[in-house]
Amino acid sequence: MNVLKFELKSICKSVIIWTLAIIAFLYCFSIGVFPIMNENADLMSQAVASMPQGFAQAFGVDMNLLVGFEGFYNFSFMYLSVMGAIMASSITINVFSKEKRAKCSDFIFSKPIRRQSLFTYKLLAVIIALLISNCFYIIVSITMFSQHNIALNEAFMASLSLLFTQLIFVAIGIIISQFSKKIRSVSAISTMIGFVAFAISALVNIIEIDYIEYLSPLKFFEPIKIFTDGGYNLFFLIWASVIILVCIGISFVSYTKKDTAIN
Amino acid sequence: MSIVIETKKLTKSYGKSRGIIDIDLSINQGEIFGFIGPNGAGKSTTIRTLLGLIFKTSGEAKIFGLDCEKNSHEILAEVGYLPSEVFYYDNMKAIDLLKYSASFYKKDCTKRIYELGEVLELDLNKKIEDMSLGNKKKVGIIQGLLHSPKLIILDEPTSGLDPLMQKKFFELIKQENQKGATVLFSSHILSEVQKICDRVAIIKEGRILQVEKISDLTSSAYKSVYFTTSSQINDFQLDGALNIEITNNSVSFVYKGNCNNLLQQLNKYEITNIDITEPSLEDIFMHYYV
Repeated sequence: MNVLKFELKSICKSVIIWTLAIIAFLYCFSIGVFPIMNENADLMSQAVASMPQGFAQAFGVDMNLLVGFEGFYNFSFMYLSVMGAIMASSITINVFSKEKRAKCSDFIFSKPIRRQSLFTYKLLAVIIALLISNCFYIIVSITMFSQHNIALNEAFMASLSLLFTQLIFVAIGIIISQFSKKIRSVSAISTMIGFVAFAISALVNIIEIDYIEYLSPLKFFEPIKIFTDGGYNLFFLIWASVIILVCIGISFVSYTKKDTAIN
Repeated sequence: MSIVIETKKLTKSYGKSRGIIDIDLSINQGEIFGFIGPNGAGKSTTIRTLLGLIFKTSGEAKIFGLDCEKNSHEILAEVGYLPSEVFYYDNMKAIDLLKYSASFYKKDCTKRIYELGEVLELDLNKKIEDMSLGNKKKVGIIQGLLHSPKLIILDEPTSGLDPLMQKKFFELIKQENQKGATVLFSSHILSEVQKICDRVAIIKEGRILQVEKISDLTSSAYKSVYFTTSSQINDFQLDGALNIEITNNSVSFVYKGNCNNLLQQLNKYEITNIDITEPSLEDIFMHYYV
């Protein structure tokens, strides 16, 4: 439990800042941007029509969807999920590469605690932090949905998309922490992960090839599927679970079996 | 007397490069055991294998009769370790790091932390990253000793400590030893080992060359001989003479053998000056290193 407390304390500030930023983004988009877009749908449609086709697609602008709050939420989610991805990978890399960055692996591995437990507590710290963060996010998100008379269960499921997406980036963050030889800056790596994920997502929006969505974690849990299909795509759910389990499993084995590098 | 550390044919290789080969060690309870060798000889590799920081390639390693890999967390509860280079988390005060370290042991170490801090004259409320190398080393010493371990493993512990602090450090280690702790002390500074250890293992190129009692090594069996002659010496040979150094008309060497043979050999020269003394450990060990 001491490791859990220590890790939670070390990411506390970062989690608070990211949670506030994500909630502020959601609030501003829902309260500020959506009413303007909704009231000026015709003008928006004309503006979008004048854009190059790929450009609007890449940034998730689909006027057929944007007229309702569900569609608008889905559009916002493209950006919220990038923030969530950066947040998740940032706190994960922070927790899992802490000893490697500080060159103090000898310190922690010479303490009377199994490496398996150490890994588990670190993972638990990240998951607890994300759960707490998402509790606040879900409350605000459901409040936004309630203003547009959307059923609570659908609103809840759509809001959960962020947490599910973040879990994929936790797994990616762990594997990067475990197999990178050197991690100089957590923020630089996590920002890069976020932007690469966004670029892939934008590319997937433009390129119409079957199954290409499987390469874009930001699209696995798009909230619009809750409203159009009544739930998440089962194949994406399985695929995301496989990615998470494989990344965490490989990292776990490496963490427990690998020689500690000499500083 | 029970054995605290025991290794049999312990081997660790890093791919093609050598680590340690067939290390056989047996360290008794209450001993201060020196582990000496030049840089890269395999001292740290042996220690890190014992601590479960790296995994052996073959052989056996046991501490307190328990397997160093399978039972590492049980072993580590009774082990205090000071690595050769001390690194800790960023943005942490010494006291916070030490409290975190203490939280891994099932005992209250608060009093001991402050006691050790006082002995080593360390400001515990200072951030570790703002500390000098010597003070970081003191943090390392405290985190290694705060839980009063039964086995203390020290890897080149005195680097960065000034002579006064080194003296205090040795006193601390002796006190812990008197309380019953076994100490494994790795160093390449022989005088340090001579000061504190009961027995010493000499390691070179990954292999243990010899394990001897310090008292045996420094006993009268070894003599440091230095003499000068009136004429230039081109060659000097004597059974039992080690590290022979000839400079113009002077010769120095370490001698282990019959004193009469030594005197007979010296009698062949026109000696102008002679000095026969107890050799330092450096002199004795030098032939293992070259």
